[in-house]
Amino acid sequence: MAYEVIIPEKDIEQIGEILDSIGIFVEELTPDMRMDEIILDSMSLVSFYVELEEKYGFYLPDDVYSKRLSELTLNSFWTDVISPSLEKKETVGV
Amino acid sequence: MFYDLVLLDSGYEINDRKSNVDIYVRNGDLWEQTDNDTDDVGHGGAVMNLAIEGIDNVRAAVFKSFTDVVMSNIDNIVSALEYVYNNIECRYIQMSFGVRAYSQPLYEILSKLYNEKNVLIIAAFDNCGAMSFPAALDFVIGVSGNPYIKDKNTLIACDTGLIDIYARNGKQLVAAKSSNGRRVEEGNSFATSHVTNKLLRSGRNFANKDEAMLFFDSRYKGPAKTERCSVNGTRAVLYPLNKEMYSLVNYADSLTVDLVGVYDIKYSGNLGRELNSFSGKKSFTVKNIDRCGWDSFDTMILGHQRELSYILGYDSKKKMLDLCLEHGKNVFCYDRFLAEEYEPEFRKRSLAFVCADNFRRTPREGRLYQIQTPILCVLGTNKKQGKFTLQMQIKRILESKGIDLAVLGTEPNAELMGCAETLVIGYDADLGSKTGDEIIESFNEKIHLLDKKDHDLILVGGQSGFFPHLMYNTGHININQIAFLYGIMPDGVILSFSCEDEPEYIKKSIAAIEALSKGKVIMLALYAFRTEYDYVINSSKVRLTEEEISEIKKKMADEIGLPVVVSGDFAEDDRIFDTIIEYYCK
Repeated sequence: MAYEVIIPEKDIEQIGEILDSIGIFVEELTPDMRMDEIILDSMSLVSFYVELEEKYGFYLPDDVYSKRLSELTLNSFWTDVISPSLEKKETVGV
Repeated sequence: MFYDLVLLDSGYEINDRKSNVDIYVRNGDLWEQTDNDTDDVGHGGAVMNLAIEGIDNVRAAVFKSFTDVVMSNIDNIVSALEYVYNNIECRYIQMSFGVRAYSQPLYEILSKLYNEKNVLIIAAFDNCGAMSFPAALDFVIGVSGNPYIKDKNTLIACDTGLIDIYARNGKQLVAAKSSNGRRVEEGNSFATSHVTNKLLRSGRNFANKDEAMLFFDSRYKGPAKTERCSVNGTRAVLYPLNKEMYSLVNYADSLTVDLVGVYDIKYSGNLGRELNSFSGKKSFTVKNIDRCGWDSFDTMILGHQRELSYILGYDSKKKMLDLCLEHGKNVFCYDRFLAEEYEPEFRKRSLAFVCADNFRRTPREGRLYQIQTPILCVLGTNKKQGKFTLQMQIKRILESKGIDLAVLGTEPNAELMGCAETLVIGYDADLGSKTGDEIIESFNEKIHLLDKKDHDLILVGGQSGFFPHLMYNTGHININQIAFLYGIMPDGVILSFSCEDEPEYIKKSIAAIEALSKGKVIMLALYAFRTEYDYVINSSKVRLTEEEISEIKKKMADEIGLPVVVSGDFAEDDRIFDTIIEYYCK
């Protein structure tokens, strides 16, 4: 394995389910995949964020939405976007 | 001199003459009465005698304005009307003929007679089904025949704003040249005489056309008036940043509004992006619509949001309209969704509600305006080929050379881009659900509005897909584009194409366009990008290399035999200008 696994297996599955629900099927999601290789068009991106917020039950901070997908892998998306929001949610009970 | 009726027609055969009818003929710049006229056509006598039939004490005059029933000399007609304006008092002018091309001098003299001298003008529409003048002018009582009206006393008034009265035009016995006695004739000329006869019989002096129309039908309301508001000159922001919005950013410094902000939904991946106008004079950072700075602008430009709303799970446009009302902002909408519901609400608050897609054609039985101004059209083999950029390039080139150009835009942003007229066709356009006849009439009417203004050239914005790529589904056949082409009837076409198009497909597109219209494809314009199609917000495009561009240009020029330019390339300006001028001035 050429990459370090950070994103928990269950969350990879959960992201896979979100992608599936918006019509994007990826046979094998791996943590090193770039987000812009997974989400190929703008309306899929909108759908993805809407479903993500729904599934995890949080609102992402604005600066997250300024990130370019080409700058993020599934791993960095997890560490930079989802994890902080989850922690905040647990802390402040959003 | 006073007449109840002045008739402009082919003359009045002296042997048919009734004692109360004077005859005027042209002598150089003057019009003189004569007692010795002949009417070789026979039209004037028949029309006059029907108009004054059964009415005593009517004073009438015939001005011999034409001598050929097919061709009339507009100069004679205008000269006669000017003479009437300067020398004669009268109540009605009847013109049982018309010209198919709009004439400004004719409009001006009739307008003066109606507005300054209170003369009512009654005119016949063209018998061949064309739009004709003066019948089509809004202050003229335009008459058309109806074969189902069997009785000359039956007149049907309409308030559609074009054909005002239907009357009997079927076969009727009319006076003709005395040597031939009476003969059977038919047509709108005689229907018009029935209308004049009824007005004369009333003995009334009508203050204006509306009053006369109320005499024919007390329920007459006149054509519906549409209030047109404007957001020109206001500070505007746009939302959302979808593909139709990018042109506003690209040309931000030449819009009819002052674009001061760009908003998008936070999910779009666009927040924080830096956008610059082509000139580099304006730049924007895409902001989150949830954090909208409502105090920084006057107008919100609302793009299409149907699919966005579907994904978001709520009606995004409705939400924005409610917020605009709450914050007292004008709106400019790309489509008509919710327009019926919200337009009155904005009006109540004295806010502008402008909808790009707002055109309602005048019902007119298929009558088409005959256009005199040359028309150049930018068409394409497919979507997303920089047709709009090419259109703006042509506009810039021609205007810089002093050519008086009018642009009819077909995209919802056309008005904001300074196009003289807009008729939206394409995504979610109201016109898209109309029949081919309605599409043809609508474009023809829009072109006429520009034609009236006597520009040097009319440029029409781009549409594509005249020859289907595939024929698996009716959705692949863009039948509305064919109606669009018939509505425009361009004289010349610049065809935009992409690097993916094969010469054979381009040849078939050219053949389709040239077969359907009277025009000729005069130039090909290469869109020098490979585009990955994303139909709502983003597109990724990669510019072709110079070698690829040269190769494609040479291949197309060799195989198709037309000049090939690159859209948007300043280096092509002279070639574009020369090709257009050579074609239109040859």
